[in-house]
Amino acid sequence: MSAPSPPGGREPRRSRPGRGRRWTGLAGRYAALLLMLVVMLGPIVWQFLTSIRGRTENVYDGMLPSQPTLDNYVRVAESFPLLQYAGNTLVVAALAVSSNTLFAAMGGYALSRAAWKGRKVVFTLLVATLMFPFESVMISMFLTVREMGLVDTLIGVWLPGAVSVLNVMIMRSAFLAVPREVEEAAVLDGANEWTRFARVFLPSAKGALAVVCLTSFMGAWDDFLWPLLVLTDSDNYTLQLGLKTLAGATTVNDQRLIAAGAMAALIPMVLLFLALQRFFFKGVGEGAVKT
Amino acid sequence: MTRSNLTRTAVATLVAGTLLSTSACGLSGGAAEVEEAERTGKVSGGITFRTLQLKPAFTSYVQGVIDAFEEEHPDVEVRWEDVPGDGYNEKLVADAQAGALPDVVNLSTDSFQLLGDRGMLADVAKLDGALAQDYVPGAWEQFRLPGKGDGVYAYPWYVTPEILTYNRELFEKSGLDPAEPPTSVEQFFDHAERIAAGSGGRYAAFMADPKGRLPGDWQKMGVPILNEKRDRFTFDTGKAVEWVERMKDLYAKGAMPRESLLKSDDINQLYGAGKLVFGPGSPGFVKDIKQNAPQVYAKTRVAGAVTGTLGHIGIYAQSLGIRKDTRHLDAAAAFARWVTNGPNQVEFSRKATIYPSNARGLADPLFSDRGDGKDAETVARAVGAEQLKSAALDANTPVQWTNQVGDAVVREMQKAIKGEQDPRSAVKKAQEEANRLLADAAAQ
Repeated sequence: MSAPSPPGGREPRRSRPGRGRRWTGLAGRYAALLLMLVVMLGPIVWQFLTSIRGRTENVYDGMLPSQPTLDNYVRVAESFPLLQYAGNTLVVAALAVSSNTLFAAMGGYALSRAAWKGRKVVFTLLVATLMFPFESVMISMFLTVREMGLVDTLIGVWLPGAVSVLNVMIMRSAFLAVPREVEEAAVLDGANEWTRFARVFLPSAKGALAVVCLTSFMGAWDDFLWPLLVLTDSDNYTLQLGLKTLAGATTVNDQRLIAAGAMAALIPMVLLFLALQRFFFKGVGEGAVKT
Repeated sequence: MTRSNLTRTAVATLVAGTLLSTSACGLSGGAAEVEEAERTGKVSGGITFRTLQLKPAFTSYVQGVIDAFEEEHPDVEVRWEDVPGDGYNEKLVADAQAGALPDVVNLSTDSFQLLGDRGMLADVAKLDGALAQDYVPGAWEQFRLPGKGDGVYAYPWYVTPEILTYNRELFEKSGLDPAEPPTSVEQFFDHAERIAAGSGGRYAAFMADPKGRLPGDWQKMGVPILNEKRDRFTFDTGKAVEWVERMKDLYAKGAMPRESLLKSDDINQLYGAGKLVFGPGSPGFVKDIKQNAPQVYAKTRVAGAVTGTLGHIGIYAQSLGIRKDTRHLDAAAAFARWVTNGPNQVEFSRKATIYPSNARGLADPLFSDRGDGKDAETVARAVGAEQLKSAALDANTPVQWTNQVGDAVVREMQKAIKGEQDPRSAVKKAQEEANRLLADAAAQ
């Protein structure tokens, strides 16, 4: 790693770092990056290797698969209604993505640009709700959804997450970063509020929208506990619930099968990320610095 | 009052209001005394039946049991729902709060406690008292609740006994005779010591985490866990201290994997990779190894669990509880009795690594067949069944040993095994802490 620079940079540099030192610095940096890669990717690679192991192979010994096969993927598709569950999840995820992008954008706009009485109160209240962990409101949320007659429906799974406060915050800060001059120029051009929202603000917050899109998709795709509470009929199960049925207390856990299921569940997420990554990397930093 | 002050007050009021209403919501749902259903003598009506993670592996079995029941009782309609094991208890609590519990519900030991303590379960001793004799010893009594007299609050269903599994090859490498597995805790430790001496660090004997070993090991060593009145812990004895000293010594000698002191989740993996001599003590595990590590399965041997001075194992059954305020009590009770009867339980154990809690079911020849004595899965079934016949409640983890008590004791033990605390004061501190927790629970 490079040597720490003196605070304030007032002290003159004693000597230029030698060539050798720079080289070790670089090597160190790469070693650290490599370590991160192993730590982050290791479990996924392990899962993947497990998912292609043959039936007579030892799953636990950590060797490379000696009889690689795709058979486990076929078996996973046969052993439970993978497509049906994936379809259910997709319904929830699609609802979540559309409602989150739409309402987070509108909410974010209202909280950043539109001037109205009580904006601060609403904002503070919204932030306050972030402080409740899901588990503490889980029961009351369940009772509400039950009262609405939405138990055992995909709508019931989607509704509490229809718009997340965090996404509203993301959109709000993205809109705050749009220079006031741009908005004023649009006003002079005769654009009304809706036009400004749709034509000026939304296009300049594409990155943030991509983030909202991806996080809401991930949230819907990965969620386990809430769908479990709401759904009872296994025909309505989402993919994560379905996958859990592969690993049972009384069932024999075939690790190859579980791994294959987990890998299959990962694919849509990777695809979505690849599709959005152009916007995504722009979006994370957006709104942080005004330019 | 300035404007910002006003805002602040408004926010505070609203937040407080939200807090109050959510907590009120949490309380009102289930705390009220649940009304008890009455028998009508008519087996009819629609009932819901919830199982714990049996789909999709046992879909056809369970559906078959339901169909046969509906055929016999055409007025009853059973709606079956299966729920994954993770989050099972959370879902039960949510349903209990909403008054939406199923009529017949599959309960594990902890979910039984959860619903039993809240007074959500019907007393099946009152419904079907004569049934007690049908079950293996201890199975029926296991579903009493402390402080609730002679009531029994669930029908015993399937059982999974404790057995001993070990790697024959590693036994031989350590100079141990695979035909003579340990039968007492002390012998088990002696074996571990021999294994550590010869392993050269390539494999270990067992997992160090005290959580899985307590209070079982102490009971098997003859340590009294509770006093006569069962209202105080009394395990602070010379024997318990001996146990800690032995664990500490073995840990230092490398008989257990270093990192296994705090967590033993990867036990299947270690055993399956040939890095551990003693596997987990359940028949289901034998099947797991057969599936995931066939090479190690071939070397796996099975014996009766270490039982020490007790001479028998405890009994932990899955059960079927009846919702106390069910609308169709007769149908629910008849169905639960049907699912847990001998033939249906035997049929189930042919398909899964489980055992009937039903005595007549356990007498089925399936459970005495050892095959050629070489196949670990077959032997495991016979060994487990043999042990169940003499199983008794005194080897169970007492209900007073709650999760909190267990965690508190384990924390002290871990410190002692690592050498951060001397064994004598660790046991003493553990007992003090356990008694404090017990007193707290009693005061509530």
